[in-house]
Amino acid sequence: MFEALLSYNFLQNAFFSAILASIACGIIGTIIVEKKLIMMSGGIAHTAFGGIGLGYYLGIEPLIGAMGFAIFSALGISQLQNRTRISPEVVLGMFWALGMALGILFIAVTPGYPPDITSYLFGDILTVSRVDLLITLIMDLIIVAAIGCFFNAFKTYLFDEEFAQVIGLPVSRLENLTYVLIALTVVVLIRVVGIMLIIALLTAPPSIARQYTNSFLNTILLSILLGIIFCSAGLWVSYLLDIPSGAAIIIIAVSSYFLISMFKKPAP
Amino acid sequence: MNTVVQLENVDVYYGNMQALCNITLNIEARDFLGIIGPNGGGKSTLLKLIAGLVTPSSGKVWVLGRPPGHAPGKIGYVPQRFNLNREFPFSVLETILTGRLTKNNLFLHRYTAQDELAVNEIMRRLDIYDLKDRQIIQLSGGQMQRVLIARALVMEPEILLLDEPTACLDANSKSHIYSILKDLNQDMTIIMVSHDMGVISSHVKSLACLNMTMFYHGLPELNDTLLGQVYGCPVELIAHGVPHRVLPHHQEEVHV
Ligand SMILES: Nc1ncnc2c1ncn2[C@@H]1O[C@H](COP(=O)(O)OP(=O)(O)OP(=O)(O)O)[C@@H](O)[C@H]1O
Ligand SMILES: [Mg+2]
Repeated sequence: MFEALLSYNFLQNAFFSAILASIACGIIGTIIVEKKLIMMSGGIAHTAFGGIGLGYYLGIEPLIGAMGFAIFSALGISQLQNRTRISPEVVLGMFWALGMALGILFIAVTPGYPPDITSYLFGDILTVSRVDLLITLIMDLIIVAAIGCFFNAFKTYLFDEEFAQVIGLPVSRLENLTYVLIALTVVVLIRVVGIMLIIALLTAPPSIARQYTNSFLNTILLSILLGIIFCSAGLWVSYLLDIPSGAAIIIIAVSSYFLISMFKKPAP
Repeated sequence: MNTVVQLENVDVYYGNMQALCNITLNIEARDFLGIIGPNGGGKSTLLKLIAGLVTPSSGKVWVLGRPPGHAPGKIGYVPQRFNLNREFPFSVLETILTGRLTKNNLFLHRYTAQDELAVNEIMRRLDIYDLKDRQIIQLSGGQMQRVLIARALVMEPEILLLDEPTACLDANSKSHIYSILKDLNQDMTIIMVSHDMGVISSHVKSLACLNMTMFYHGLPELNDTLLGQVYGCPVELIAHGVPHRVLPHHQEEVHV
């Protein structure tokens, strides 16, 4: 493996991508688990598929389309939840399915051979390019800077939104920022594990981490570490056995979660 | 005396359900106002209005001379229902520290040694210092309530809004909290909702009776007729054991 890692460019890219994606994943995963935005994140990820289809249709980079759709749906869902009396779950379900439907529609009406959409649905970390790496790095910087610079404000907002508002924190701005950061993370993770599998990679590491620590910051750091372990292990297994990398990563992450939860008593 | 809270013909609706109707109310600095009224009478809504958490459908509200929500850091609020995330990885210390956060220095904010000192002092005062490192999820209802009171007090607010702050507390903690409130009241305006007539009668400086509209606002002296009007039901339960200051024309047999 190490020889291969040194000699093959695509393996190096995959490995760096695993590390960079795990940073975004660990931070945002912890936030969505604590703020109970897991299904929301799943909805954003699936809506992003519409953007991938649109990207193909317009002949632009599909991930750019995905980012547009992800950000639009994140803000759209939050506006509809806050401003209307439609049930949040319903809004989420509608966006979820509509995004997938639009994606398939755009791909169907795109002339020429249908593209391979499996890599977007289930990820393919072995095809990550230098440009993808650069995009992931920029997303990481944005996420780390946003959360890091307003760490105490974020914690207060995640813990008690009502009190945050009473003491004058910009709650709706923090909320929108959170949703946009979720959208960015989703885009980063599409390359790694794909739209269908994102939820597990976001939630397994923080759920394991929380069994070992009672600190928000440590949950994030431990989640990042676990993400790196799961992704590189999945990458290795997938390279050795020639199986799909996204599936390998998710199976390792989820089975680790179940094994650890069964044998570990909750932290005191 | 200067007025710290001013409401003028305020209506509040939730959707098409009216919670408050034509409320006009002035609250003076250093008042200790008790608010009573039946369930669903709009007491919590009134506090949320002052805290800037609900917006009036019509009428004017001024808090410390500004619209509500524009005097952050000066309003301490202890909610009736804890709409907070109890599973969040926060210790008691971290929870109370958030009371020291102000909107002005959020960028790269760190809590100072002074903040920690203030928190430690307030925890000692409220007898929760032992719980310092406990996780929020491990607290009992009464412990949680005291932590949230501490979080409001550590802000050193000018106006303190308390929504049934002692509903889960045992008798000792209750009287302890009231002695602290009495102390704080020397330079802090306190507005408190309570169903506990004993508490109302012995601790507040003025009283408001609320059931959608304001039935009474004045000295803490009440009569059966008024109570009957406010509650729209027999007041036996309420009048039972209430000292004479609240019911000056107390008859031998409280009839309704
Ligand atoms: N978020 C909300 N959405 C819709 N209606 C609400 C909401 N909050 C309160 N209400 C309604 O407004 C009215 C006043 O409620 P409020 O909570 O202010 O009463 P309260 O006097 O505090 O009652 P309690 O003594 O039970 O605490 C009630 O009829 C309630 O049903
Ligand atoms: Mg109430």
